[in-house]
Amino acid sequence: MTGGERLSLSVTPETCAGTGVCTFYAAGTFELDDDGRVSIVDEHGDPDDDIRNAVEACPTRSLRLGPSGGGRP
Amino acid sequence: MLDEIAQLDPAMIRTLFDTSGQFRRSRSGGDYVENFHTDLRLARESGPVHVGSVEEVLGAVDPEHPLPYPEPVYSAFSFDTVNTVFRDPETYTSDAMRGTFDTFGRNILAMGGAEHARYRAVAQPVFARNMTQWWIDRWIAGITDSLLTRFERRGRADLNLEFCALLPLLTITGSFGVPMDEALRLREHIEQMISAGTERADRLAASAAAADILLPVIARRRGDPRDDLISKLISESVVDEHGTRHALTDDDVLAYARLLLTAGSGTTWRQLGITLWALLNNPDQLDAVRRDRSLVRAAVEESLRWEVTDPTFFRLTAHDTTLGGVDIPAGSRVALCLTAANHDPSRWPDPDRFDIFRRVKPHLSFASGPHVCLGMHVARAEMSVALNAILDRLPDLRWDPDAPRPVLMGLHMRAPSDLPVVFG
Ligand code: HEM
Ligand code: SF4
Repeated sequence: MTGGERLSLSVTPETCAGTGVCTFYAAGTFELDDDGRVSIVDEHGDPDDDIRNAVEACPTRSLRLGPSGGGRP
Repeated sequence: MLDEIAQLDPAMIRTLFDTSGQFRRSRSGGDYVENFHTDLRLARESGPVHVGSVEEVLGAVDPEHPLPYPEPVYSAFSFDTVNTVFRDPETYTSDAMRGTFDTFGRNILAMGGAEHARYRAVAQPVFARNMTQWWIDRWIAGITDSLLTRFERRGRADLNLEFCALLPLLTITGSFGVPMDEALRLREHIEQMISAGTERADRLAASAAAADILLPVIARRRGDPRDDLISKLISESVVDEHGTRHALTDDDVLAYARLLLTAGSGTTWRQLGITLWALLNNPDQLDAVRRDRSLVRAAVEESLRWEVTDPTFFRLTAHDTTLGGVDIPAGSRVALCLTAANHDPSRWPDPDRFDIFRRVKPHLSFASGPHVCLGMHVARAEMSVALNAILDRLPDLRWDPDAPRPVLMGLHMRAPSDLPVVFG
């Protein structure tokens, strides 16, 4: 992160396979619903490093950290 | 449960789980006790991808067991190349494991694409992270307690045979509802079923013998469901390729059961042993974990990163491709060296050092992509419950000063030769 710019977190539940890798690395940020699909409970629910680990490790690339303001329509 | 555990045949436990014994050595590449990490570093330093198998690159081919692969073989040693392969199942398929269809039945390990996704979704809910407490309460905590009760007042133990070997096996067989007195026989059949050195007819016979133990359990649970794994699998349905939903057949459940026994009982046994071995060899780190249990998680993750018990997995290339600058033709076998990837110095400084205080970064010990380990949350729960209980109940745990120091051994499966400890 440069210049204090905040990154925004987005998820794609359609491709999520319910592995729970993200909730292992960042349990305060991500949550799975009854169908095992990911959602965000708190965008800053864990230290940044933990959230980055979750995003990087998601085996289906269903998590994204990008510059804020460019969220899905 | 104590009485049932007392009935388990110690000679059979030794045969199946003594890493330095004849039976295990023949299966795990057990004669390899060289400095694995140095060998892998030298391989990685000369390029991320090599022509030849991991054994060939390390110069460790067993002359009595030359490599069985008819196709050309390549090996990947860097984090980026191994990660790329796991995440690109269209180029690098799990057809490499198709041989298991014969003995396990049609199972998710070797499936691909939509079929894999449909069948994996059947078992994902019971292995979800929010089911961890269910696994702990129903099996892991009670088995851990019983195993420790058997020797905690003795002041010494072989933690490999008396503890590490039994916890994962009894957890998975317990979750199936298989009686404890059949657990070791089931493990023996599974060993025979997957043994590369065994004739096909004998492997098929072992697969049938495993079914003889499992089918009666499946039949009982169909009539009278319980709160266990087989009942949950039976209650799930799968969508077939025409979009029709149907219940799992006995063959579907059997294939899952054989896979779960294979994937879930040997791996966690050896990984827990590696964790204890590494901590016992680093008494300052063991002491830190003993005092601050929030470090248990870091100890388990560092053990997985530093020395994953199954260091090599395979894929087949569906078309010509290039990996790490090396051209690989269609139909090649690609060996993925997880340990080398987990020691990539571009991600982990001083990677060969076991250090529970290093910053956590995702490793590849549970793979990645669609086949990422289904049992990872159960495996982690077994290892952390075990480590906590051992530290609670075996005070001042240390190596037995009268026994030779065990070594880590095995090329295909890594594990400590044994774990002789004293305490109290
Ligand atoms: C420390 C222990 C364990 C390690 C290091 C481990 C590692 C792995 C790895 C690397 C894979 C990927 C295989 C591939 O991509 O070809 C895998 C898959 C699998 N593991 Fe584990 N595993 C462990 C424990 C368990 C346990 C306890 C279970 C079940 C109770 C389990 C069940 C499975 C299953 C069913 C698959 C196949 C998943 C699929 O193909 O979609 N594993 N494991
Ligand atoms: S890690 Fe990815 S696939 Fe797994 S549950 Fe989280 S979002 Fe879904």
